[in-house]
This record gives sequence, structure tokens and C-alpha cells, in this order.
Amino acid sequence: MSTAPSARIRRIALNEARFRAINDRLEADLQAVTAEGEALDFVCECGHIECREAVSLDLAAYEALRADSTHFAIVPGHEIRDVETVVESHPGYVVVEKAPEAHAIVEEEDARREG
Amino acid sequence: MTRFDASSLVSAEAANALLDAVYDAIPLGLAFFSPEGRFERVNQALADMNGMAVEAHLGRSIEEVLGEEGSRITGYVHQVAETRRALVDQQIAIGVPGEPGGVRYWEAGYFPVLDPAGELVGVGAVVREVTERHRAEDERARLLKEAVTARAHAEAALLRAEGAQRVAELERSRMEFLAEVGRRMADSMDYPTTLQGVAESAVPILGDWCVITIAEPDGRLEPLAAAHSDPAKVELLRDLTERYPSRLDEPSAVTQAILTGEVLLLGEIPAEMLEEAARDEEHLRVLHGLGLQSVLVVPLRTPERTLGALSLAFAESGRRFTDADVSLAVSLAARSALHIRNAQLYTERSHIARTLQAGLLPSRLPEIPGLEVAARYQAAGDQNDVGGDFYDVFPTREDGVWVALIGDVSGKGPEAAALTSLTRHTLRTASLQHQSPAENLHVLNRALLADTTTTRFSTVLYARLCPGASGARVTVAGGGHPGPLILRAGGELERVDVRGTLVGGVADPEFGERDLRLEPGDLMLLYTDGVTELRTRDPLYGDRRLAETLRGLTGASAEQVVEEVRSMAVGLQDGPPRDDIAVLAIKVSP
Repeated sequence: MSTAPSARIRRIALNEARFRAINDRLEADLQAVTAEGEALDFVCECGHIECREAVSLDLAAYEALRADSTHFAIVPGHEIRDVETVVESHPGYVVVEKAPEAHAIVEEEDARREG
Repeated sequence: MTRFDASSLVSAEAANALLDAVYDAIPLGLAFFSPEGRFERVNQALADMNGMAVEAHLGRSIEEVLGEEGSRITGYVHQVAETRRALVDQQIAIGVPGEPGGVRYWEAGYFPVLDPAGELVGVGAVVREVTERHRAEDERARLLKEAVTARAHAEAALLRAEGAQRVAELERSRMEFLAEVGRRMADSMDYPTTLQGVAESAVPILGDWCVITIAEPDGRLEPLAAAHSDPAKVELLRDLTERYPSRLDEPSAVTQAILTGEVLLLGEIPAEMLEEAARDEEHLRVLHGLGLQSVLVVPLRTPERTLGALSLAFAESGRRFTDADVSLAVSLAARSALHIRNAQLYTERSHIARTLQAGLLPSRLPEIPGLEVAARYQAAGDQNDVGGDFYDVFPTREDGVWVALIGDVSGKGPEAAALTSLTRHTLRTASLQHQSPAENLHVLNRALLADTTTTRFSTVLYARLCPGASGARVTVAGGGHPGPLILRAGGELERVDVRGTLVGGVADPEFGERDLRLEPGDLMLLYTDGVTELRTRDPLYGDRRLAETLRGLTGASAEQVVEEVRSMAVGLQDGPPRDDIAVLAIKVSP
């Protein structure tokens, strides 16, 4: 059973969910004009305020990432260790999984889970 | 499907000529392949597209002309030959021989060509060059990707910038909060009032609730300050703490923080916790009514001991404590603890100063037949230091002879207090042996010089009073002190000049002495320089104001005069008096 998230964990989770929503719109806008295997510059979904970096994923990789609402793509080294864990490493990006106490937040914020 | 019917043509030559004309005229690439996929006819447009002469195509396979990339076209030709069905709108990206490394885009259609018997003669092809269109589409897609990607990154940057701005604003509000707390604490040593203000300013920055609790020496936990945005809630809490007083030996979050000296953060308040804390059903109901969601308790620590605790709680706002909140609360608790400790020390010191000061002044003035005597004393500054001004009125051994003293010992604090005490008691003792005021000042001078523990000195005005049936004879001696003012019953004001050196300054001082006569209704005012020395460019301004004040008090009682003079002196200062004020009035009864 997970405990209630601290304000900090909640804030970071909400921030990352907002970046994911931006990436979802980016993917939807580019799907029609993107070739198979073509890398797109998605927004790094990390929780750092000062980050301005991008992560390169093709559409298939992005869809694989989005299959799990608790997973986020970030630049290697941008993970915040007490709120997320690196579960996959790829060239140019890693996939992190949110801490259990933040799962409900990021799942609730995931528009793809609606309906 | 195209059927070739030679009978409908004038001749084969004419048909060929017509075909050549059509091939040359159409601005599209045209080709005719054998069923095996070899070029049998090509128009100039297609030859141009391929970058080769028409003749270089004829009889050659598609791969021989276009290389390996031509196999896809061969596939189309074979498919049409086999199915006898046309293929239209085939998109082909292909490198052409005339443009090494370049990619051209074609849109092509393939159709079977049959003879009248329905036998396949070959496969025709119509090819449209769409490279420019493709490139334009590619460019549009590239621009779209760039624009959409840039927009996404701009949105993210804006989100992060807003977050950074919120953090910066929060940090600024926290700094302003701490600065305000510092100002409040610097402004007053009345720490219960100050900390109530601090608690109120902590809401809602640091919590929906803020309570400052003090651990009393007997173990009681007293809520020193409590704040909530809703005053009714504060009343609820006060009622709760009165009905259910807490003690240090009872388990609670507050006692835990005080006893361990550690910060206690309860991220959530489970129902069981309230049930354990409640003493009865009513207590539990009220605790529930507070609506606490999360609680932060920070001990009020000083180097000597933990004074109590600062408790913060979020309730109806639903907020949670952040690391920054905890850090700010720890800073606030440290400042509060220091303020309480400083205020307690200040209070103790003030009490000592007041007690000591009271010992340096007569507890009450004597009643002298034929004279009214009144005095006022006001210490300078924050009343935390013992002042150096003094006055005294006492009888001598001679019947009906009294002494009035006023003086100012240099400096403040314990050393000045010791010197004041020495001065008063030396003069009291000396007056028992000598009648002459000047002689008694010499005795004092020797006593002060003999005291090797201090280099301080004193000013003194010594008045020997001999009240009689119709007035009073007065002999005054001055040791570096302003002479007395005499307000005659008729309103005339006289300044008595009594010259003399500071007492305790040199071994051979000179103390002037004057004999005066006070008639009924006359008033003699003795005062220290705190009454007249003001921080103005005009050094005589204070003297003039004192004179004006006294003239306006003609006929007033001694008590009225000292109060009005004190009030005038305080009123002339910009803020609290910077020097002690002592005033002694002696009036001959009318």
C-alpha cells in the first residue's frame, strides 16, 4: 500500500505529467508527416525547473513508452532518485518509473486513460 | 486496357507517325515495354527524366537503364502483364542515371496493350515527374515538424519558467516573511504580543494553523500564541486548551518535539491518532472539528534548553508541507526561541535595573514643615540600565535643617550605580558632621578620589534648607552642576549661578557657595541636564523652554511643577529620552 505523496513528490509528478501531455500533442500533430523510424525531438519529461532539453524517440518508441502511465522519458541524469527509478536505458534517453506514491497522480493526469 | 487495331489506321507507317507525334507532343513520360520488361519505345520527355537519350533505352531492361532501383518498376510491368489490369498512381522515388545521388519522384500508371485478338503486345507506361511537388511537400512537413516541435518545447519552457517564477515568488515571500518577523521582534521585547503577531503573519504562508507553545517550569504547556484565518477557530482552540490543558509529561506531538528537540512532521493525521490523543468523546469531536490534515512541530531551542514548540498545521487548504516549508518553519522557530530568550533576559535585567534604581533614590520624600517637596525621575532609553542621575532629601542633626541633593554620575550601569550610592551616602554622612555645603562636597571629592575602583566623577548640587516661619534660608553649593532656578511667587524667574568643579575629578576642586532667601510662595527647582540638553543646534533652547515652562507655572504646587517640567523635557526629545531626567522642586508654603 502506498502512502500519501509529499507535496514535493506531488508537485514533481504533476509537472512531469504536464510535459507528457505536451509530448502527446506533439506526437499527434506530427504523426501524419513522420516516417517510420524517424526520430522526433520530444520534450524531456523530467521534474527539473531549469531543464530545456529534448529526448529523441521515434513514434514506435514513444508509443511503447506511453503504454505505461507511470513511465516517463527523460535525458539521462535528469532522474530525481527519491521520486522515480530508471527502468530502461536507450541512446539519448532513459525511461523512469514514478515512485508508487505518485502512481495515482500520474495515472489520473494521463488523458489516454480516460474513457 | 488498350487494343491495337491496325485496320482502323490508314497504314502502319501512318500509325507509327501518329504514335511518334503523340509521344513527342505529350508533356508526360511515355514508355512501351515488351512483356518481359524491355524498353521498346520511349518518348523524349521520359528520356529527359531519366537523363539518357531515347536510343539508349531501346531494347534494354528497366534495371539496365535505371539500375537496381528499377526492379520495382519491372515488378509493376510484370504485374500488369500477368493480370492484364492497369496500375495507376504509383508513387516512385528513384535515383536516375543523369543525376547521381539525386532522388526523383514519379507518379506513374501502367496499362496492358493488347492486340485485336486480346493477346498481350506489351505494357505501356505514363510517368509524371512530381519531384518538385514532393520536395515542396517534404519541405512543408519539415517546417511543420519544426514549428510543432518548437511550439511543444516553448510550452514546456513556459511551464518550467512559470514553475521557476512561482518558486522565486515563494522564496521572495518567505524572505519578506522572515524580514517582517525580524522587524516585529526587533521592535518589541513584549514577546507574547510579538509572537502572536508572528503567528498571525505565518498564516497562511506556513500553515492554516500556527500555535506557539511554551513549556512552563512546572510542566504545563501554555499556548503563548495561536492564529488561524478564522478567528472563531482560534477561539475553538483556546477553549480546547483551557478545557483540556496539556502537560509535558503527557504524550503528544508537541511534547515529543520538545523532549527530543527534533522536528516532527506528520504528513497525515490518521483517525486513530486523534482517538489516541482524545481524552473523551467531546475532546475527540473538537479535535475532528479542527480538520487537521498534516502537522509540523518544531522545537523552540536555545543553547540552554528547549523553551517550547512552534506548531503548524494544514487543514482546510489541503496543502502539504514542502521541504521549503520545513526549512522556513525551522528558521522561524529559531528566531522565536531566540526572541523569547532575549526578551526573558531583558525582562530579568529590567527588573534588576528597576530594583537597583529604586535603591538609589529615596523611596519617599520627607514631609518638611513649611515646605512642599516633590520630585520626578525618568531613566533614559529602554530602562534596562541603571541611570546615573540621583536626588535626595534628608534631615541633618540640626533641628529644622534639611538637605536637598541632586546630581549626575558619569556613565550608566552597575559602576554608575555604585558611584551614585557612594555619593548619596557619603553626603548623608558628611552632612551629619559639617554644616557647609561646600565642605561636604570636599568630603565627597576625597571619597570619590579614594575609590580606586572607578575613574568616574559626579556633578552635585547641594542645598542646605532652613525653613522658618516666613520663608526659608537656603545655602547652595555646586560641584559642576547647573544652578537652581527660583520661581518667585510673583512670577519672576531667577537663575542662581553656583560655580564649582566636578566632584571626584581633581584633588583640589573649588566649590562655590551661595546663600539664598526663599519667601512664601517661592519655588526652587533643582534639575539635571537631561531636562535642558537637547540635540538641537541651539545649545540654549532647552534652558529657554524650561524658563518659559516655569513662568507658566507661577503659583503651581511643587508636584505640578515637577510633573510639567518632566513632561516638557520628554516632549522636547525626539522619541524616548536619551538622558536621565531628574527634577526636584522645593516650594515655601504660602
